[in-house]
Amino acid sequence: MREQQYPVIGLGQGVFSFVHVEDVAVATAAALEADPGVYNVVDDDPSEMSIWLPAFARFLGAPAPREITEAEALRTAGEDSIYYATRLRGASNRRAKQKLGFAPRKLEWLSKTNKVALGAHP
Amino acid sequence: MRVLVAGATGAIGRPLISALVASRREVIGITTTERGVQTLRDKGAEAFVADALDRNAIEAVIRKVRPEAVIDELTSLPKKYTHEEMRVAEERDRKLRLVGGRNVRMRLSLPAPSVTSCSPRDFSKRLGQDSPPRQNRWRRRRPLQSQAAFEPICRLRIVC
Repeated sequence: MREQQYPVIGLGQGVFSFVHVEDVAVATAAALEADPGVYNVVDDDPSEMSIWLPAFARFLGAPAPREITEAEALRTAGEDSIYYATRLRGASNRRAKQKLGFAPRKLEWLSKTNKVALGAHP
Repeated sequence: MRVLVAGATGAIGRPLISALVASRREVIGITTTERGVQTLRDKGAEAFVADALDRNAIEAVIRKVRPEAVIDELTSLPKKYTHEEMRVAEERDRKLRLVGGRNVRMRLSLPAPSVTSCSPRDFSKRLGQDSPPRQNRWRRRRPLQSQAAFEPICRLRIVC
């Protein structure tokens, strides 16, 4: 991030879901006794890359990420990176909350800085 | 519950081992290094040294441990996420997840996985290709005798 090696690609509308690793550990342990099935263990703030990447840079005190086109990304970073940056859809943790008692924490870097990015009030 | 964890000293494995020990499970971790053994013991878990890619070694561990649940947290991602390192890691990581994952979920008499998760990188790779490996598909491909060899162990739960 500090070297601006991780750019926003295209419109950066791909929606990422993050989660704290300690929350993952607790949810995974809870899954041992839960109903068989698929659980998305992700936090409550799925965010578009165009929001979370600048937010993460701000949190680190790094310069704002560069912005590049999809064509440029295809040449330099490969098609995976475009898929992530523009197509990812985020995930719902509803079932994990219901069945695993999953209670993800707010991510410091995302929640604080999102307030700046979205203009929300504390 | 006896829980066997593969990828026990990784980014998720380490806090997971602590969470499992804290919730009073009997926890056994697989690691490839002596340092990993020490990490696991310090956390209150048992440790076995085995390479997930070595089918015989994993089979030996499973026979010995007789786990009631297996948790697969195998990955081989680079320390730094530069394009170069990601490119190098990609094939290594893929192999560990697919081959290693298959080994640690070794054909016991298994119900469907209790939890299966796919990281987004799997989706992009597999668009229009293979669907993610599912336990029932995989079981059909295994030789029958190896299933029989593990019948007595237990109903296993797989979390990955």
